[in-house]
Amino acid sequence: MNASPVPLLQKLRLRENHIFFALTIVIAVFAGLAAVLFTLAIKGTAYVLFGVSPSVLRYILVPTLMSLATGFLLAKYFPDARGSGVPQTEAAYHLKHGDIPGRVAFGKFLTGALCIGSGHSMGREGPSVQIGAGIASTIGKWFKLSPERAKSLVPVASAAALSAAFNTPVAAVIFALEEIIGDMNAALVGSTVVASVAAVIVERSILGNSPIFQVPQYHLVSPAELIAYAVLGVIGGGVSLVFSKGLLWLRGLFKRMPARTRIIQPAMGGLAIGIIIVFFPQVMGVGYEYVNQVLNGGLLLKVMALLCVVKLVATIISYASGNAGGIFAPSLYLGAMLGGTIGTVMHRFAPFPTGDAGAYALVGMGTLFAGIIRAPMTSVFMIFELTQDYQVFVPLMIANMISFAISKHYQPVSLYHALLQQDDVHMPVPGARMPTGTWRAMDFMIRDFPMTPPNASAASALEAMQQSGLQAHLVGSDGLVEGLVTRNRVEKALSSGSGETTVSGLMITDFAHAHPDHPVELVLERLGKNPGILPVVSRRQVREVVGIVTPQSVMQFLQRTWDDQGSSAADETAISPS
Amino acid sequence: MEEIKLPRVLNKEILLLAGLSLAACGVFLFTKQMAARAQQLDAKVAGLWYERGVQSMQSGDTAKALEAFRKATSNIGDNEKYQLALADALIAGNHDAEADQLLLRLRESNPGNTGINTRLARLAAKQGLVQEAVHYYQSALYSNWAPAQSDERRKLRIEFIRYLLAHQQRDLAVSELLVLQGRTPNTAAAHIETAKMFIEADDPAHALDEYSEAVQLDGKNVDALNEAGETAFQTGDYAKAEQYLRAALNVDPESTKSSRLLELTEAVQNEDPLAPQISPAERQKRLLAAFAETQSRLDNCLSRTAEEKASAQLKSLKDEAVAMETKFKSPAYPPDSDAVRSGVGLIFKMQQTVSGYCGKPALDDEALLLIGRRHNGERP
Repeated sequence: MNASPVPLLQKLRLRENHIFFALTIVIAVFAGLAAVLFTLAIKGTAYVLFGVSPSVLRYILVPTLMSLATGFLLAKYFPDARGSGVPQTEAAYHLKHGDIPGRVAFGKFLTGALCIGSGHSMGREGPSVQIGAGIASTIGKWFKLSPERAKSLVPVASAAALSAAFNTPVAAVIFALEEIIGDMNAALVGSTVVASVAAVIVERSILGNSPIFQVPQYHLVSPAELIAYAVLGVIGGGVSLVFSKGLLWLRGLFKRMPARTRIIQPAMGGLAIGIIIVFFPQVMGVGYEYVNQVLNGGLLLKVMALLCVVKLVATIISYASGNAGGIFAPSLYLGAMLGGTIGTVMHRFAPFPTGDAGAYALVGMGTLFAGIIRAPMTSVFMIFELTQDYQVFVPLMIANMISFAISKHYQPVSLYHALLQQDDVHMPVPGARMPTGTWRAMDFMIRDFPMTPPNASAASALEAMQQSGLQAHLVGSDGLVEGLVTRNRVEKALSSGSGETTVSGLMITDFAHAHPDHPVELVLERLGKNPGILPVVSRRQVREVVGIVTPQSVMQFLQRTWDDQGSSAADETAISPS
Repeated sequence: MEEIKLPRVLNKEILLLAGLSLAACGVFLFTKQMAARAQQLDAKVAGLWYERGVQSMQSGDTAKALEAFRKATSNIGDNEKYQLALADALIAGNHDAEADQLLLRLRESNPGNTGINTRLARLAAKQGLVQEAVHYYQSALYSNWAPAQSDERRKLRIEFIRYLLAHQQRDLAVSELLVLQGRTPNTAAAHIETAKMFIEADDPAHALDEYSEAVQLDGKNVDALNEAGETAFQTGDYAKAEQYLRAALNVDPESTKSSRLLELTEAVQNEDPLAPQISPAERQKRLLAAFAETQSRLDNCLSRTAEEKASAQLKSLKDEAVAMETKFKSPAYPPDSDAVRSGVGLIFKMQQTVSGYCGKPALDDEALLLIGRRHNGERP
């Protein structure tokens, strides 16, 4: 008998779609479990390190020594595990086809648990997202999925991890779409919903169904109270700005320190945190118990105002010094304290009846989240999921949008993207995403270009320019650009008798650049700002040059395009002489 | 026969998925075990904080207790004992709003919980919210109590009754007192306690029942005998009052209060012209004695009163009394009950008027006032 394949069996073979769907659930389960384990690890670490009632010395030593250890681990083994994890995940999704090595996920888990458990004022949600995405990426590689499929596992796992870490499945889906993908109309909605639900089921079956926050019933006491919420939005926007700018400033300061200090920078932050928590143990770690207290009217005005300031400073120090942990939870903490403060003041002094401070704390959480994280839809759904009360929508949207608008106006680049920029990673903004068919820098850039070393003499640079026929050269080595040098400058230097001057002394360090996916309009605009040459650099590392654009290369591209398509187009558009 | 080639069905992806699913199950079990351990640790830490909180509460350090109970509940969110302790500390520390939120949240999942309702009731009482306090007290009292908790329940009912009495909710208080009466333990002290609350609720009849029970259980209890006598006197049951007061004096002959009340009780009984089962002659005699006593008091008052209007009123009453007395003096004309009643009425009016102008009556006059009140349908 012939043993040819049976059609039924052929049908049973899984297609990639089916595999992807099954994989979505499996990954969601793993991401959810990882998030739960991460939460448990943080709690366990905190208990082991601090005990029940720690001494002053222990408060100071624990974060310092632990940060010394994690600083070593982060510098030597897990450099991508610093900070939140959300920007790294976004960068991996947009720039690396969703590639997050398993080592990074492991490193994040380890260093995150140690940093947050040792008292650093940071959150667990961002790291959970990166850990989940790392697991997804690793499993995706085992299945040898197509690049697009592998990439799409990242937001799916992010939603699952956040869903399990924060127990808000709807907000987790919105976050994955709004923040990670950056497109609310993404085709991955179905997968993220499935993943989010699967992860939250896993989380609840292990930790139970109790919500993170005990939220009192929300009441809008009078329509005039919306004015108070608008005030909260304005002040919330201001505080978001202070937080974002302060964090970027201090992080910039740390980054400008000599590279050899990188290992001890987290410990510097740890020492500062140790001193802070001696006086304000309330700002340690995630701090949701204090958010709960504010929501239920359990803190005094003075305490809330003070904790708002101290938490802001502590989080900036923890994050900027290079420890591993997120800003998701701190932004909620700050919002609750700020909202509670403003709510109490309004309750006492507003000429109209207002609700309890707890209601303002609740809206404040969303307000700061919208201002700092810049995910206004996520914040609205998150607070709605926490309260399960429609009444909260209007005040929440008013405060959120005001805060978001103020924050965006005074700092156009979101905090996550600005943090990436500090690491020389440039994320594509939604405006740069052009429809398919638009000419991009990658279409007309010159991939084979000369680069002058910084230690080259002016004479040799001029010779190189004469050979290449370019009016300017990139200065740098090993494919990494440091500046530009123009023919004019070199000639001037030579004519003034300083022919031995090296190129590094003549180069322009402040120059425009483009990315390979930038559209032609933007490239031409930026080319106009540079002296005849525009470096095209990688988004993943902005010093890494992948090509150059010159006026000549643009003209040549247009000529080629005309040659290829011009005749047929001319036939179609030609006006008959008769 | 067709040969099924396994590798075609069980391709690499399926095997990998199966392996991952198995691994997920393993990790799930591991995580669950870790979570259970973490919960045990949380419970241990929460227990420590709870103990500290209790100690701080006992030493009066509410702020420390509050902090400790907060930590206990943040470690274990769903432990009712810890949460109620936190609520107590919040109330003690005047964090009423937070305590209210906490208790209301707890009540959502357990509306019939006596501990929660009791605390909500006390909190509402503290905040002056009478209706809410009544609602929560009733919710607490009328939920399910274990038989072993009957004493606690009684104490709570007494607390509720006292609250009602303090807030002029007499009818509700009497209702609760009647429930309490049916469940009062059979001890003199308990009956006396209930009786006192009946007195506060202005219900001497039920109070007398309770005192009677107390006296039956402890016939040598001077307080019970005195209170029973006084209450019987208040209800107008002078025979019973005499019985209890005499018994009280037997136990404690030094009690001046009891002896005066006993004299008064005897006077009321001996001087009442409308007393049952006395002869017409005795009735006439008592009536004339009462007239004589009252006129003497009136004359005395008249001699001391300079005010014209008062003098006129007293004189008019005296004239009326003289006319009626003359009629009653005739031995051939013993007064009928209606005449005696009108005579008692006039005597009461005269005693009242004199008391208004000339102050407190002597014992016999007070007895006549009480007799008048009694037959006038008023309470003593």
